Amino acid sequence: MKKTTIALALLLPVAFFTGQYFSGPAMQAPSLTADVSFSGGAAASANAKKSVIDHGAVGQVHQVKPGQLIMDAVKAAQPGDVIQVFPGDYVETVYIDKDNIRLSGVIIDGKRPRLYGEERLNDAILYSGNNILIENFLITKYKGNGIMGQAGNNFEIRHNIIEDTGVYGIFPQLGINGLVEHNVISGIEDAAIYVGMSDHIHVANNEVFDSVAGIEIENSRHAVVENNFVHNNTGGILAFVTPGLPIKDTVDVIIRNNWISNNNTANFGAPGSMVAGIPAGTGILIMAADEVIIEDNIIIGNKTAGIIITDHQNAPNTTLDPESDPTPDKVMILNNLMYNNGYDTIAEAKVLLATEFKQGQPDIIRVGNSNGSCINNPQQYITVGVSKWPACSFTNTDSVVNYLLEEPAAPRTVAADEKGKYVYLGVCTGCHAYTGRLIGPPVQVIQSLYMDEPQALADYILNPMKKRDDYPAMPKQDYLDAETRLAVAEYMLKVGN
Amino acid sequence: MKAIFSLMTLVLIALPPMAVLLSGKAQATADMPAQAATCLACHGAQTRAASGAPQLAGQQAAYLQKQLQQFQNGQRGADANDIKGQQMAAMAASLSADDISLLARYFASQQADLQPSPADAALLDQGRRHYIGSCGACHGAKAEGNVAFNAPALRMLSADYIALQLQQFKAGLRGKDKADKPGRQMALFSRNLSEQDMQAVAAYIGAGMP
Repeated sequence: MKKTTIALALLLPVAFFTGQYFSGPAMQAPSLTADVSFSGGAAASANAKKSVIDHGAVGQVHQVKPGQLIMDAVKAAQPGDVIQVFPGDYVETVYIDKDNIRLSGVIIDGKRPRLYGEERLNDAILYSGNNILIENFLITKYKGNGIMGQAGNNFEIRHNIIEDTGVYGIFPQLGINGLVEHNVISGIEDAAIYVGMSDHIHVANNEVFDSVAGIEIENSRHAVVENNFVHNNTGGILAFVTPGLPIKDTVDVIIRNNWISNNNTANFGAPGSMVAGIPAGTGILIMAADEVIIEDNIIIGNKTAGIIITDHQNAPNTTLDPESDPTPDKVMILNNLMYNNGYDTIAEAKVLLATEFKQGQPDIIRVGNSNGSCINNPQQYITVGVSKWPACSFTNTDSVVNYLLEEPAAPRTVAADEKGKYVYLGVCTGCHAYTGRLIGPPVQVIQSLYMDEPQALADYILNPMKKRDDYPAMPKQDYLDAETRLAVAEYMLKVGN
Repeated sequence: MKAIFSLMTLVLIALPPMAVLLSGKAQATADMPAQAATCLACHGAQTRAASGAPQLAGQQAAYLQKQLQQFQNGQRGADANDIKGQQMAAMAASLSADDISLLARYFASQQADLQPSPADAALLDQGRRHYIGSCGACHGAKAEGNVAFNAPALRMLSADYIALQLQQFKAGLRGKDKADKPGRQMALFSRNLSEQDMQAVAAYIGAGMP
């Protein structure tokens, strides 16, 4: 025993120096090589690839080092280029308004580049281009968004750590075909991951915690949320329809194989905002969304309930939208492991339990209407409002690998006279619903305040002043040029629901 | 009962000095300007329900001043269909600029007397959603008003008064004059509201925003 220890002690320093000698320059970026998959094992050939971007030939590589600005590299970059950002602090907002850019943090000795907002800057990374990849950053202390997509198609956002950063951690808005995976996000006032008005999205293998909402699939279609670790939020995973947004429904969402535990954090969302209505202790919340499948999740220790299914009428802080169906239809609950939920539930749930002559701690609560929904093996859960649901006609979703597109979606191109519309859809509606309070005041109120003065509104969004004690400050939209700001102001003042 | 109240209103309007005796007592303080007694004939605690006049105590001075000026210059209370507004316009006509400033500051400095009146739970729920969703964006989370938007406090107003104002904004009896920007802003917003919405919001505020 003693002999071995001495031998090791002798060996270690030698090995260390040898390693240093051969390892070359300290700041080496990884070379860009094509992905190669493990060819052994017994995998079936049907396993789909996960990338959603066809980058084509790699263009120029721009290296950014501490003391330089990432934004300078973005300005210099052409579509197809790669921007490598080396470890160090970067205090800036990066805005990518061109297509096919790979913004890649370089991790060396465990240190990654840090985008630092100093509790002063609004957004870390914004992109409006198509085929954008963002990876390997540490983002902290911004007030608005960590990473926000504004109407860009085909995106990959992965391997980022986002801490204590404003309203949304990762927020693709109005995007088709996107992947959000292997991110660790915490301390967000609204949603750690917010998929807004998007289609064909895959959210996988993320850890989200200490936020008001863990993962939100909102006014979006065809999304898979799987293998995420969702803990210690106010609400874990949410699939819902926000009334008053331009996209009116949420359809076809699979929530499977997630670990959803102890989402009991007191709600710290802005009072009156929609997420502020989520009861602390909610594992999964389905509000007005249709065709949602909940399968093989581990749902434990969520004090209000494991799963809540509600229509708009029974949800707090929502207004009805005549163009949105307020009813969650075709909710499909397959087998899940649910344990120790509902141990400190809300009064409404207790009343509902009593009406079914039940007692105990509810795993599943359904309030309001729901048509065509089903549940497998309901006897294993303590439930309210689902006892009349039939069994589902299937037991798993194994046939669905993901809902990503076979080929990348066509890049979204915006004609000059539609610029206002797309900025409205891609940016404004992230916080402003037409009616009702999302994050900022509703568009109806803004229309009343600014009436026929779009220039005044354009000036305001360039340099907003906080006027409302109980609303968060609006971030500056200074990355948009003057013409675009006026175009979106004009559009906003005349748009309908 | 209702008939008696209407009768009282008539009497009070006809005989201001008596009204002062009736209503001024509770609210009179050492620093109350003499002109305020006339206001309280209709706006006082005992007379408001019958007269339909809003409570003035606790309202923003700038808002009160602007309304009195508007009653004088015809931006408010000039429409033939706005009976209550016409009454107020007649009362405001005799005030000097100094009177207006003095009264506005006096009432703004007074503590509002909050007397919530209960309402139907479903109506309150609807009103709450509307209030939080829209109204609060300018009038504040507690209906305390927001001078940044020239938005008056609503918390001390009765459901009847609020409903009537919303109806008048929507009908074009108030907030029509080009020079009255805050009025036009409110008028524009009121067109988004149905009669049912207006009743719900008014009931919610009148009930103390439960």
